[in-house]
This record gives sequence, structure tokens and C-alpha cells, in this order.
Amino acid sequence: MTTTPNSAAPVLEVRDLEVTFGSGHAAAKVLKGVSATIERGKTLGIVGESGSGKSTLAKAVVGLNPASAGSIWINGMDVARMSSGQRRAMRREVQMIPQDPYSSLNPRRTIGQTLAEAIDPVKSNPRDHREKIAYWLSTIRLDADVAERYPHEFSGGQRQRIAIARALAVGPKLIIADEITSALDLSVQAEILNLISRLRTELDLTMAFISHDLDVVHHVSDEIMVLFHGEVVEIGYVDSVYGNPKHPYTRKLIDSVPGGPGFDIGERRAAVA
Amino acid sequence: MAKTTRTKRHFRWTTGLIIGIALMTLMVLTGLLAPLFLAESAEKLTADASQGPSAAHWLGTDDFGRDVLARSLVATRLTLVMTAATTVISVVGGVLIGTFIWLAPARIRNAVLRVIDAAVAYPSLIFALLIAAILGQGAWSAVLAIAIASIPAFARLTANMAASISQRNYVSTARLLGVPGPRIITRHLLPNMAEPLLVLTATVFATTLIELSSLSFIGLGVQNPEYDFGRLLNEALVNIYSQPLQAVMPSIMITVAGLSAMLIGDGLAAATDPRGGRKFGSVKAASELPASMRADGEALVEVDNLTVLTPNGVPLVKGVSLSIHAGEVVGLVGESGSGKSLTAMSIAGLLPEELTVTAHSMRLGELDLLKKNDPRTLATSIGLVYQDPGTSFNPALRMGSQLTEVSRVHLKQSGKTAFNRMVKALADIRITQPETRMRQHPHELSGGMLQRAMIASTLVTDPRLIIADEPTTALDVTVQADVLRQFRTINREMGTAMLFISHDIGVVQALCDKVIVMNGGKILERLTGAQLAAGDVKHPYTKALLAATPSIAERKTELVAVRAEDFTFDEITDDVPVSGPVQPGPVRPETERLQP
Repeated sequence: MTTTPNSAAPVLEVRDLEVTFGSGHAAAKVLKGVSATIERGKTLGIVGESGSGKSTLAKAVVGLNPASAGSIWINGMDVARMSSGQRRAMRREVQMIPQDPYSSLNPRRTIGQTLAEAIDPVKSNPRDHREKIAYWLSTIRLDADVAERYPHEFSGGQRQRIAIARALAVGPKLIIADEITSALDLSVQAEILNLISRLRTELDLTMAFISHDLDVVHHVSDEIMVLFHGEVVEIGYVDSVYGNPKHPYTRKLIDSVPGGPGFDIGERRAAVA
Repeated sequence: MAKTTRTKRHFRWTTGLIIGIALMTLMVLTGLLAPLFLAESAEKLTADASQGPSAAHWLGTDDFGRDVLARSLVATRLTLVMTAATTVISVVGGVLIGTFIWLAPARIRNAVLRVIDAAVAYPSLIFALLIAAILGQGAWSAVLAIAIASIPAFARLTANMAASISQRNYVSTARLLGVPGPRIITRHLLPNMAEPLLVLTATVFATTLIELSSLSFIGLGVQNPEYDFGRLLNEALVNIYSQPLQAVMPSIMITVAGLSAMLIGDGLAAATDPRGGRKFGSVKAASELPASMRADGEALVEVDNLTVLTPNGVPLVKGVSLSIHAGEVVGLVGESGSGKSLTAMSIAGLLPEELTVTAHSMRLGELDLLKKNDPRTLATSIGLVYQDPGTSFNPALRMGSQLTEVSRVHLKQSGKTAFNRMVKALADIRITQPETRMRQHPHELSGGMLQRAMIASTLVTDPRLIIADEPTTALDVTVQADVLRQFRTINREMGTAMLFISHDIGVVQALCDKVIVMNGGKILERLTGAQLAAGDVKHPYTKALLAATPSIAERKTELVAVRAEDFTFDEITDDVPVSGPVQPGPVRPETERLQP
């Protein structure tokens, strides 16, 4: 089970994961035994406030943060027990879409060059991958001729779509979307969320969708996980967690959403002219 | 389908850069041509030794009867070649070391960086002397010595730049894509630091020129019969009293070459730096604009027909009129570029100078905001709360001195009074241990606490209006609820009027009594908070905004992707049915299937 991919196994399984920064006296345990599973074709929404460890979890899954305890299983394989070749292959199977559409694209490379690099990291001449580039651009509703252009010629929403196309072009088994709409305007956010919804059904994406915005997570996720100070306080189907939160912190979080049913900031001033 | 804007980057030619390039061209031409035409008079020994200036020899001759001017001009070639070679070696070496250590494991990288640090700390000229002494005398050993001695500084600067670029998302993404290390350097690191490297190279050229000349001057560099500027100075030193002119020309040449390189470096730096100076501007009354029908004499704040123009005459705010009554919370909601912040900052008088602000009238109480007001009156009448509490405080100063600044400077309170009042204000806004907080630095407080401290500091002057520009956008949702609760409490208990700017419809509908929806520099709709919360809106843009917002209250199958620029029609007034597009914004057809 640890040496070959298993198609019946969940795409991602995290067991009792701990991540510690620093050592000795200054050690800070950022993840304190997190367990989660994402089945094929499902989206897990991960919510939490700053310092809850949601980005640390994302980075641990893609291998940017080493785990100090626990294990990460991708397609039924323990990442820690992979050979270096398997690990290199695994890296391409898990792709991350970064938050900021402005710093995630190299300003000196054309969109075609950026996508070609995702398609083949070594032989990345855009002319050799013209069809695939055009295909992925059409997936995000951009014309094929934009491949010749540079990132500064695009709006924030278009850049974020390109970053999504770059992650998809690798053909990953798992997509990690880390706050991908928080730098965007409302209307652009709607555009990106619609794109994500469409791709989820058309490409059967498996995704971890991280956000601090409970409205957004509610919109895109099948299941939801609530992190608080590095611990999972609640995990379950979206409707049951939002409709009937078990943990007091989840309740507090949901009641803090402006416009939500439980939101209350006190009485209005009486007699406004 | 892809709507893009092509922006051209203009290269800014400064006077310094033009002069630098002209001088450098002159130097290079001299270096190319002088040896062809002047070699004979520069090198042939004649009987006219140690002569003064004459028609035949403008700067006289040296001990062996060679023309001083010709020698100085001919020496340009060797000097430039040596300097260029040294610069190339040190730049290439420095860039290679500075970038490749980012591919090495952290332990090796740190070790190399410490070695570089030590080398940078050691004076490079002395280091060069040491290397030159080991390699022996001669032009090329001098080149090598200076080049090796200059590598650490260049490597250090490159490593610093590479460090910041390697933090950027596109580099970490490239790693995740499996791009090999050397390609990360050539594709992602080098192109993004090309400009600063070019600027640094010009500077290195200038310093290298001085160092090479120094080596030759003390006899370690170029040896007879070859000669560069430094060697000429060395020869001139012997006769400095009898033939002072012999030292002048090489000195001028060194100065001109160094100066031109420096001018080019500075000019390139200025040309690539997109930032310009920003100053606060003044406001003037519009002379011909018609009076708005919405002017309201009773109101605390009254803005009539406010227009903000860019220097090119592009309107950013197009005739906005609004009024805020005492004790009222008015929300300005819109997306980026809607003009909501510009409107609020015009009232606060804090717009950049290059923007032209006109209005039929703009006042706060009896204070005419179109006139130049006493900064003290402004600072105490209007309290400002900014978006990011992390950057609105100076990290080097204690909270106390920053929070009491307005009270001390504008209300002329003593330090102690101001401190005590601030402690009370902090306690009022439910900040724990207020006296300890006053002695802490900003980094010791959480974001929510900093934002509440900022709100408390605006309250001590008892302002008539608080302008809050996206005050909760940078905060966590539970902290945001807490800060909104504070705004509500202040408004209820002290009756302070507020202008609250936000892109978040949920926040605005919860807090504000009145909501003004802006788009494209215009007001599109005025609502009460309750109307917005109930979805009782008329303008298609407002409807579209609501349809674009995901909500935990209901699961929408498809969000409507609004295109702000599609909504060009103006504000709708009450009871006037809207004609125009029935659909709330174009819904993008999503029927196209993907090919496998």
C-alpha cells in the first residue's frame, strides 16, 4: 500500500499531522495533530482565522513545510516513505494556486512561457506546446493569442484565472487553493468562484479550498474543516456545520459573518434624523 | 474575450543620464581613436624633454620628451579595457555566487553568506593589494586582484535581491512545478533583477576605475612601457613641482570616466524607479458647476457636486453630492476604482496634489473644506481610521507617543494629561491593561487591538466626524465583529457621525444607517441599511452586486459576475422605475464544453 498508488484510496489523507517551527525553547507548534481526508472529486473547505494554521497545512501538504509528526498520504501512499523519484512525481500531482495574482506570475515572462513551464518544466518553449496552451487558455475563457502577452497587461481576475490554468496544466490529482479570492474585488471573486465551480464538475477536480471568508467557503465546498490555533475543532458536511455547529468556536465564527443570521453588533442609535 | 490594457513603460531620460552617456561615448571614442593617431607623439622619445606648454605640446612634455596630452589620451584605451574586464569578472562572479547559493541547501547557503559578509567587511582595496602582491606586478594581475576583491560586495547585493525575489510566489510555484534550479535562476531570478544589477554595474565600473588607477599609481599595476591613467600619475608625481600640468590631464580623465559611469548609474536608477513624489494638494471651488438639488443645509457634512480629476483631466469622481447628519453613520460601498475612497479623502483634505478637486460646496459644520483650513482644526474635527492597522503605526515608536500625538500637538495638552486621557479612552473601548499598552510597541499588539487603539485615538479629540476607510478589511472575522461593535457603541453613546467606506456589503448593511452605492466615480443608489439588508434595492448594479456575493445564508447555484463598466447609467431616484437592461449584468454563458 505504501509503494503503489491506490485509486480507491482518498486523494489526500492527513493523519495526526504536527508542524513545529523552531526548536527547543523557541519551538512553536503550529499544527497540533490535524487529521483530514479528501475523497476523489470532492472539495474540502478549510476555514480559520489568522494563526489558525491553514496556510501551514497547505504548505505541509505540498512539501514546503516539513511535518514534525504524523503522516500525509497522497493516493494511498505515505509521502514520508516515498523514494525521491516518487516524491518528485508526487510534487507535480499536488498543485497550489497562490493567493496574490500579482506576485504569482513572473512579470518578465509571457503567459505562454508561464503555461509552457507548467506543461513541461524543462523543455518549456511555448512553440512546442502551442495546442495545450491554447486548450488551457480556452478552459479559463481567454483567447489563444493572449499567450504572447505579459502579466501586466491583465486585470487581477484574469491573472488569477491564468494562475488557475497554470495549476491545472500540470494535470494534478489535487489542487490546493490558498485564499485565491481574498485579493479580488467582489465581481472578480464571483468570476473566479464560477470558474472553480464549473471546473469542479467538468474536470472532476479534487480540491482543498482555504479561505478566511466563510461565505466563500460555503459556496464552493462539499465538506468543511474549521481550524483554531492549529487544531481541528470541527469537520463535516457544509450544511450540517453551518446549520448546526457543534463547537462554540464554530458558532462564534459563523455568528461573526456580517449579514449572517446570527450577526449582532448591538442596537442602532435611536432616532436617527 | 480577453480585455486587456496595454501599458507602455516610458524610459525617462534625465539630464544626468544624457550627460553621462555623452561623456562615456567620448571616452570610448578617445580610447578607440587616440592610439591610432597619437601613438607616435605619445611614445616616441624626443629631445624636447620636460618642456612647458607650447603650440606643439599643449600640456608640455615629460622627462623623455613625450607629449603629455597625447599620452593621457592614448592611455584611455588600456584604462577602459582593464576597467571593463575587471567589472565583467566581478559582476559575473558576484551574480553567479549570489544566485547559485539560493539553490544550495540552507546550511551551505548560510556558511557562504557568512564568508561573503566577512569579505565585505574587509576593505576591498587592501584585499586587492594582498592579491596583487601575491600575483606579482602587472596589468592583468591588477585586474584580477581588483575583480576578486570586488566579487564579495556584488555577490552580497545579488544574494539580497535574489532572496527577496525567491520569496515571490512565482518562484515557489516554479519549484512546485518541478523546474530545475539553474532554470529558475535564468527564467525567474535574473530577469527580475536585471535593472538594479545594471545600475550596480555602472557603480562598480566607477569604483573599479579608481582602484585600478590607485594600484598603478603605487606601482603595483601597469608596468613600463605600458601606461594607464594611474601609471601616468605615478610618473607625474616625481615632477609634481616642476611639471604640475603632467598630473592634470590623467586626473581629469579619471574624473570624467568615473563621473560618466556614476551619472549613467544614477540615471538608470532614476529611469527604472517608477515612484514619484507625492504631496498633499489643495481644493478649489467649482465656478460653473450647477448647484445640486441634494444640498441639505441642516446636515453636519455637506458635499455638493464633488469632482476629482487626474492631471490629464480624467474624472475619477464625477459630481458626487452627499450629506451626513449629526449622529448618522453613512456607508460608501463600491468596488475598487468606484471613487469611494477618493470621495472620503477629499472631505478629509488628504488627496495627492496632482489630483484636482472641485466642488460647488463642501463643508463640515461651519468649516468650509474648500478653503485652506488650519491643520489643527481639521485634525481635531475629523478622525481618520485607516485600513491596515499593521502599517498605520510606526513600528519604532511606543504606542503612547503615537496615540497622544494629536492631543499634544493640536490640543496643546501636556504629556501627562494626554497620556491619562488616552489611557481612559483605551479603557473605554475595552482594551485590557491600557497603561501597559501605552508603553508597548505596535508589534506587541494584535491587529484588532491596534485598530481599536486607533479608533480610541481619534475619539480623544472629540471629532465631529470619523472617516473610516475599510477599517475592518485587514481583520479576522471575529475581530471584525468586535470592531464593528465598537463603532456601533461609539455612535450610540457619543453620537459621533461616521463616514464608513467598505467594499463589503454585509459590513455596510449591518453598521450603517444610510448606504451610498458608488461605481465609476458616481453615486448609483442611496439606501437605508435596512433596505440593503432586506434586498430592497432598485438599481441594477446594486442588484448585481448582491447577486455576486456568496452568502452563508443561502447557497446560490451561480454567482453573477458583474462587470462594473457595464453599468453606466446614473443614479436612480426614488419611485422612478429603471429602464435599461433587465438582466442584472451580463451572465456569461457557461455552456461551452471542454475537449478532453
